[in-house]
Amino acid sequence: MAGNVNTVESRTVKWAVAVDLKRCVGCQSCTMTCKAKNGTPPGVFWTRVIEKEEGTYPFAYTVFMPMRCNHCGEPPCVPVCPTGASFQRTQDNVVLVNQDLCIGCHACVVACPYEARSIPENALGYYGKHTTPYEQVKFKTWQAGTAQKCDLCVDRLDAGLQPACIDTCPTRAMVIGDRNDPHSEISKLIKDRANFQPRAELGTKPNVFYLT
Amino acid sequence: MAPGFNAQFKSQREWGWLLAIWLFMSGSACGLFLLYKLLELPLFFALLALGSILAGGAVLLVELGSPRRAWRGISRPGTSWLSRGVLFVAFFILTGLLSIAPELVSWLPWQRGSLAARALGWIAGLCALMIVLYPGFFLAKNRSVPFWHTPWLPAAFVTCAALGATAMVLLGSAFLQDGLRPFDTLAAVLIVLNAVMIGIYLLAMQRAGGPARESVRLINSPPLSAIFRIGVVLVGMAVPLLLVLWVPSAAVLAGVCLLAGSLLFRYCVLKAGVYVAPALVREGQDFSRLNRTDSDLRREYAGMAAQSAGNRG
Repeated sequence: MAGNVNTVESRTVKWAVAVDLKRCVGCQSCTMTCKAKNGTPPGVFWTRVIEKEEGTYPFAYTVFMPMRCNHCGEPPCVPVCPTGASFQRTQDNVVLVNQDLCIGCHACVVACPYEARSIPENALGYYGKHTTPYEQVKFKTWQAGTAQKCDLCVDRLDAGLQPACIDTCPTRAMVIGDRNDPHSEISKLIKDRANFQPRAELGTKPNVFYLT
Repeated sequence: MAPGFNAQFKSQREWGWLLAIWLFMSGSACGLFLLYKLLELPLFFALLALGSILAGGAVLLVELGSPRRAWRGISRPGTSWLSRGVLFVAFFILTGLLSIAPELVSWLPWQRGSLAARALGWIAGLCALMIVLYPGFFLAKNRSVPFWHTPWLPAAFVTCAALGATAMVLLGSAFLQDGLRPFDTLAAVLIVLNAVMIGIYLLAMQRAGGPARESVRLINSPPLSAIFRIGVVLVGMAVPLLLVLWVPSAAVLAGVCLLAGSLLFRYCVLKAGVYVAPALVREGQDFSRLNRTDSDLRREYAGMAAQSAGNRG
């Protein structure tokens, strides 16, 4: 619900996303909603769900894990940027790209251990040069040859709404909130539930928590 | 049962030949300029160094997604090695050209051998040294690629740059008649040093395990294995070593082989870069409630079957 999310006001907000691995069913709704909202080019997914088979026949099953930008506390993609195009908002921890400044050097793409960044070489759509009306509109929101990544739907966040991927999750496997607010749902979840942060040992201070 | 969501290793696909050519040309050119300064080589070699880095810079522009904005690359020298590299290159070209300019034209306010010319020359030399060093630091800063995230990489790049510079001297010696025979010995020493450095680097990465070990495996598997074994080891080191030691008249061929090996080594290092698995979890993470064991599932399935049977009844 939109009301659960604190709007960005004057105080510093530390956005975090909790992903309940016991709830995720791998439906890829988040993946498709992200594509629909952001109009990312073919092959580029700002959020995706990886899956892994566990167990052995006949007791095998699949586990799912939504992957996304972690909007890290110490984002390795920001300091490597030679132009300042990659930056972290001062009022919160959302990592963004100013595509007008990006030179497409790929340094940030390589630096990100979560494979959360992409640099599309061109603005061709899913049907090659024949872009659909939808692609014609959406492809104007990004530039080919520059880095792009999950922006945590800052337009929605600033309007007091949840990111589209979280809003659409049918099992409510994802929760977003302010970790600086000890009474937020996410703070309680992280406190009460066993969880892990992906690749935290790399010192990135990721803000995605996987609840197990 | 696997200890979590350990995604498969994935090779980096961002950088390839274009960046390898830049690393090769900038490293060799700047090493050559340092040799020119330290050993007082003929002016031809300074011009060759500056020409090479200009050509390499043109290749680097093609590598960029938005080359028309390349000038913005100087904006973050405080944090970005790329930004520092762009500044070093700009200063190197500027001061390098100004330092040798008195030997090309006579109307300049500073003369050959003057304090200004020498100061400019040494500033250019310092920038050249940093251009040799920065690619290693730039790659080594990436914790996402363990094969690069090691101090052995900058060290290997330095010896490779020195070898490339010596190769350019060997090549250039064919067009000069003043005798550069001592460089045969230098080349032989550097080939051995380079081989040892590459060996230590690969051994260290092999022992590091995980993605770094996977990178070493990639280098030893087709198609990279052919490039590494034939291009880097055989053509790039073994053949030129034999040539400089026993066939001094083939210095040019040795130089060509060394340059080819130097370029191919950079290419192999770049292409063998493997990312850490993005979702690998900490050792000892308790997934028992998520990843149910066979016996858990057996009990669960038995319960479901009993419930289903009860419903039918």
